[in-house]
Amino acid sequence: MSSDRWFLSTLIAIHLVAVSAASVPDPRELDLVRSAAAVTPSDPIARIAAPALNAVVAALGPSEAQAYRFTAPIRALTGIYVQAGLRQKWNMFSNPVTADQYVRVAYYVTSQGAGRVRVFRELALPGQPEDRARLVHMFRDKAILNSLEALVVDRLEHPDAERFADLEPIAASFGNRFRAAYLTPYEAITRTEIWFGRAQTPPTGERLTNSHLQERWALLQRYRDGPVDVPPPITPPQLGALQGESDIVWRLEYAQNQ
Amino acid sequence: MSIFLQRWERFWFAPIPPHVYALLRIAFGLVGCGTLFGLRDLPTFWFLDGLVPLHLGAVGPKQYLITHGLGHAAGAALYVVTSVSFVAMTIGFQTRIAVPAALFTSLAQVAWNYLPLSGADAAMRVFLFCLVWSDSGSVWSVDAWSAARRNVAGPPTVVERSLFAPLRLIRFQVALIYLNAGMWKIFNPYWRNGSAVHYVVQSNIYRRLPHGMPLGFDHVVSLLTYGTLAWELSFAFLLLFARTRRIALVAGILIHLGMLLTIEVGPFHFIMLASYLAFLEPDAVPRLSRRLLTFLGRPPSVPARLETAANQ
Repeated sequence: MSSDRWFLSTLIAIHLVAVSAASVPDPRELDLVRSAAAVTPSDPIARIAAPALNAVVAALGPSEAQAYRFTAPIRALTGIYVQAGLRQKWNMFSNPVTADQYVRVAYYVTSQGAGRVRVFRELALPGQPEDRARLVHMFRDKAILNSLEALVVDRLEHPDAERFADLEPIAASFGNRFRAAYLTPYEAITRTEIWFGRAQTPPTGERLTNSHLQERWALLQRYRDGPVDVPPPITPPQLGALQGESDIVWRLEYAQNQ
Repeated sequence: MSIFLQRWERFWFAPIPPHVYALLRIAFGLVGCGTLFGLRDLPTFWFLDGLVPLHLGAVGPKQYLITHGLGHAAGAALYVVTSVSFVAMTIGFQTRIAVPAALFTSLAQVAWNYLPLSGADAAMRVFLFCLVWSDSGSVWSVDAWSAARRNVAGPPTVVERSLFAPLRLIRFQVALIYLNAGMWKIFNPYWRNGSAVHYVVQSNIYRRLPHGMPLGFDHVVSLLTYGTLAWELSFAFLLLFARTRRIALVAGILIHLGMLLTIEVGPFHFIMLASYLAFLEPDAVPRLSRRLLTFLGRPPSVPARLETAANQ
């Protein structure tokens, strides 16, 4: 083999080792996937397959953790190379969400000279009506979901932190659009809130009734038709506050006073 | 040892016709252009007061641009340069620059705003990294067309062969993606109890149709859950043998098309289906293109025996 090919062979070997080592899942991250609420199999196929797969995972778990430890020195050596664009974390749908997800933004608006505060709410996620077929991808929805995921990861990594900036892009982007479309120069947003809503998906063998869905969609359609003017609360809610609307449970994840 | 070296050399450095690389370049380029078309809303995805993370206090070029009030201009410039790179890559214009530029701008896009990006973009980057090392512009490109026009003696009679290595790396990467995805999934209880696909197709974020999967299809959904898991975990091993390779690839095409019809996850299925072109037999690609041209009534201008002549 020529010296050129020896050199290329070395690079190829390094590449293969680096990306393979990078693809071994971190056991701490796997714990997040693993910790999803255990549910009993409901159909005949699952009653046979689930115990077998549980046994495989019980055997595989320790080996996976060992493989991760064993490959740690390789990751340390090749980290920069992999981080430069060869990240190998392909965990899409590895932890399916068992609820429909929504994001609602609330703006507190005051006018110059008037003490009254008005509150407007609009729906940020999903960007398309749910009662129609979705033919195109909404990159905006993906951006919102990635912001929420970043918030979850940040909270796990910094449990003592009081404030996280992950949802600021949502507040800034939607706030700017709202300001440009609806406010006069004499009005200003004094507070922005981001609420994350969940409506539980029924398990296999069950579905929401049509009337149930229609009720939820009618509620969401109000927000879609334009920002909804709602009565202001006596005191603004604290982070973590809960609200119910139809079968959606909203949780306040971000609040910023301007 | 020498037998191992010979096999290694043949495996990675065997000369192959460059057409398969050209095909991958065009396919990846089209997916990249489609993604950028979806991200054309500059104020939302590229300007700093849009859905763009600012990471205040951070250092680096992005922070420098923000500090100097160049954020909007830089975002717009990045979008234009990325789009130009992908269009040039797709049509094969200045390919040797366009493909690395597409990779570089994709990386810059992650640094600028990763929020609207997904696994599809990560897959695009790792595939482009492999494609960069190939000569993907010597055929089916503006470069090849303009070189033929410049050549007074007519179109070139010999197309230089390329190395197998970049194609092998793309194949390895595809296998690694599925193996890794399967590893993550098997640790999740919903995948093990057969209900994961149910929750995905019912999700208001992913389902294509308003009501998801009808109630009577729950057994099918359970089978699909286990089928997907088994296929992802076994894909890499099925590739090892010619006969099972076909099964893995056909199953992959069917699974991706099935998901394309039932759930909406952006360009992921397109980039993965495009990557399957790497599993075409490299010598068969120019043959197939000649047959296609003949079928369309446009016989190829370059004689077949010359087109695949080795240049070792």
